This record gives sequence, C-alpha cells and structure tokens, in this order.
Amino acid sequence: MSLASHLPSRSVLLGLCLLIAAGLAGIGMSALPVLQFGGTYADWPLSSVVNPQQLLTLAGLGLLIGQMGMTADGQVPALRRASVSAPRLRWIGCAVLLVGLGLGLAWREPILRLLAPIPGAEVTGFLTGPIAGLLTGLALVLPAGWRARLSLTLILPAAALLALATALSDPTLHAANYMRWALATELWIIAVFALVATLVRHRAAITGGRILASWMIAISLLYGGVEVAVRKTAIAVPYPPVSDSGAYPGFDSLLRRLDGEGN
Amino acid sequence: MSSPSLLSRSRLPVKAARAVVPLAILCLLSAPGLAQAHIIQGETGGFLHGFEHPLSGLDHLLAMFCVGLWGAQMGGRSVWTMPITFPLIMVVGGLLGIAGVPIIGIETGIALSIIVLGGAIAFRWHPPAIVSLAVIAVFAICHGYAHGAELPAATDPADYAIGFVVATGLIHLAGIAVGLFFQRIRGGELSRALGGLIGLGGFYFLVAG
Repeated sequence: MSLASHLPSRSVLLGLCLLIAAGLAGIGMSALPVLQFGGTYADWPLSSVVNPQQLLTLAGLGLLIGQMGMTADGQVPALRRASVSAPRLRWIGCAVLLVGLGLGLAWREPILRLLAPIPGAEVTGFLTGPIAGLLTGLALVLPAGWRARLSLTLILPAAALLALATALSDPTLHAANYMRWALATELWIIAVFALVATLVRHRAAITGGRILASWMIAISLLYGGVEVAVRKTAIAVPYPPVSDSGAYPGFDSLLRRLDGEGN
Repeated sequence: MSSPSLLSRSRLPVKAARAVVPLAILCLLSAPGLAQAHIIQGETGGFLHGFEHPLSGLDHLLAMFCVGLWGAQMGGRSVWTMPITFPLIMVVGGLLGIAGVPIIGIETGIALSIIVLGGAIAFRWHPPAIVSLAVIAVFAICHGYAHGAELPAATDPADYAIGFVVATGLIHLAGIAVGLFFQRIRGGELSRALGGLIGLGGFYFLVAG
C-alpha cells in the first residue's frame, strides 16, 4: 500500500493549509512588535510556547488525539467492531485535553504543592514541562491496545501540566493577554498535528508517532535530569539563613547590631 | 523471527566490497581530524550545539546510522523497535554522564558499537529481537554517556539535550530510509556492503581512540 493512496483529497489539504497559514500569520504578527522595538527571541511572549521542548509535547498530544481509534496498521476499524467510533473518540480526547488545561490552571496551587518535593523545583518550573512531555510520550509509545485504554487517562494530567508549564514560563511577567494567546497558540498547534494525524491513515504514521514518542521520553528525562543537576546547585543563597525564633524573627541579629551602634 | 547461523550467511558481496573497501580506507586515512569518539571539552551551547554533536562526530554518526540500517535490514517490527529503544536507553547513559558517574572505556565502547553494528549488517546477522535490542542497549549507554557528560557544562543544557536527541533520531530515520531503499536493490547487498564499510571504519576509531 502506498502512502499516496492514504492521503486526503485536495480540498481537505487546502483547508489544512489555510489553517496552518492563518496560525503562522497570527504567530508572525505577534512577533512584529518585538522586532519593531529591536527585541530578541526571549522578549517574544510566545517564546514559552514556540520552543523545542514545548513543541514536541504539543505535537505529541496532537498525534495522540489524531490517531485515536486507529489500529497498529493505521486503519480505523469499522464502527460495529469498536465500542466508540474513532471520530467520537477524538472529540472525547479534545474534551479531555480542554478539561486538563482548565484543571491545571484552576488547581495550580495543589498541583505545585504536590510537585514541590522535587529537588530544585522552585527554579525548574516544578518540572511541569518535562513531566507533561514524559506522559505524552508514554501514551504514544504504548502498543495499540494499551494506548487505546490509557490515552485519555494520560492526556488529562499531561494537559494540566502543560497549562502550568505555560503559566510558569510566562516571559511577560503576567501580561493580561499572555495566557489567552499562549493557550490559543498551543491549541492551534495541537489541532494542526491532530488533523494531519487524522488524515494520514498509514502504518508509517503510527510508527512515526512512536519514534517521536521515544524522543519525547528521552528528552523529558534528560531535560528533567539536567535541570535538577544543574539548576539545583546553580542558585544558592549567598547568605546564611536567618533564625526564625526570638522576639523579632529574622531581625534579631540586625536589631542587636543597631543597638550596638547606638552605644 | 529466524535466527540463522552467523557464518552460514556471512559472505559479503565480493565485487562491491573490493571496490569500496580501498576507497573507504583511503577516505578514513585522509581524515584523521574526524577521529573523535568525542566527549567535547570546553564550552558547549544550546539546541544547535546539541543538534550538531551527533552530526559532527563521525563515530556517533556512523553508529546511529547503523542502528537504522540494521533495523531496516531485519525488517518487521525491528524497523521501529530499534530506533525507539536506542534513545530510551541512551537516557540511562546520559543520566549517568550528567551525574558524573565514572565509567571507563566509553570511547572504546563507541568504536566497538560501529564495528559490531556494521558487522551485523555486513553478515546479515538477524538474531532474536531481544538479543538485537540488548546489543543496541549496551551501545546506547556508551553514546548517551558521551552526550550526557557534556550536558551540565552546556550554556543551555535543556535545549542541548533536545538538540542531540532530535539529531540522533533523524540519523536513525536516515538509516532506516537508506536501508529500506537498499533492500530493494540487488536483494540488500548494498546494505551489507555499506555495513561492512562502516564496520571497517570502526577499527580505525578503535585504534585512534
């Protein structure tokens, strides 16, 4: 079976190209003010989304949703053989993704408290990005049977952590529109990859997804490992910790010194 | 999956080997600067530097390429299980490198990986999947360690890690593509010749390293 025989019609491809072009135009326009004022990539609000780590996770989530209901050979089984039809399964996947994003933002504090014991959590964005990538990669690399069962379960926490990673890596320091635009861009990227995965029903697409997943797992583990190894020791408090006991916790030594100056 | 004896199917395509082996030896001898079973010393950068690392060292490049080529030659599930296994196990070596756990003979292991993988392709060695994955895993640790040892020193270690994993994966894909293409020509003899050539190159790295 050739790959060409699995490609969608010209009109569908045109629609997909328009979607991609519209998104790229939007992203380009968001970069214009930065370029206008001589800013760099780090000044661009969407730099937290359009970076290699985040893009791989978004691509992975898109493939995961787009390939829902497909068998290992890239085929979509007939409706009567599957308990839920493939398109419906994809819509459920989209809904779970949105719920996950919402939960990540709504339960920000409890989730961060859960991740706080990770060494150097406060300077590594609580490793939310790498963990989101790891969960997405795990879901993608699973054999078809396991993937069907576990995808939805893994998309939920992955999306929640993705939302948190986006919030924590805000380069604008809480600009009013940042989260809105960042999440919209992320959803657009996921949608593009999901559509491509939906349209290309070929065994090679499933294999490609698995290979991408192995990269995502490797990158997430290395990313996490190196963040913990490097950042944990990079930011050390340059002064001794203050005592939290006494009449004026934290200020006792300073007050004693001031008293001494007075004499 | 069949596992024929190594020697019973081990004849290299003689004509092709005669033509390419002297040329390969000449190429290798004229490029001593490429003998880098390399754990780069000094300052390293971000994504691009990480991406460049597997591509700039011929030893990494050849071994990664062989993984894809061998998978394609074996066919079936091996086409994707091998390039998937490699980065996953490479992480273990990478984390050992990041942690600074001393492991001796890494560079020798990298050179051996070229010899063994190239030899496996040349002799069309098709062991059971578990054996081929174990072989891949051992060498993945060596390559991962070499990459991981540099990570903490990189300017942007996270992006560096992403760069070298993506580059490694792309080399695997190139190996698969070339392997699948060569399998269609003269019954895969070209793959075997290429494997033999790469395996011979491994001896150079073994001596130079």
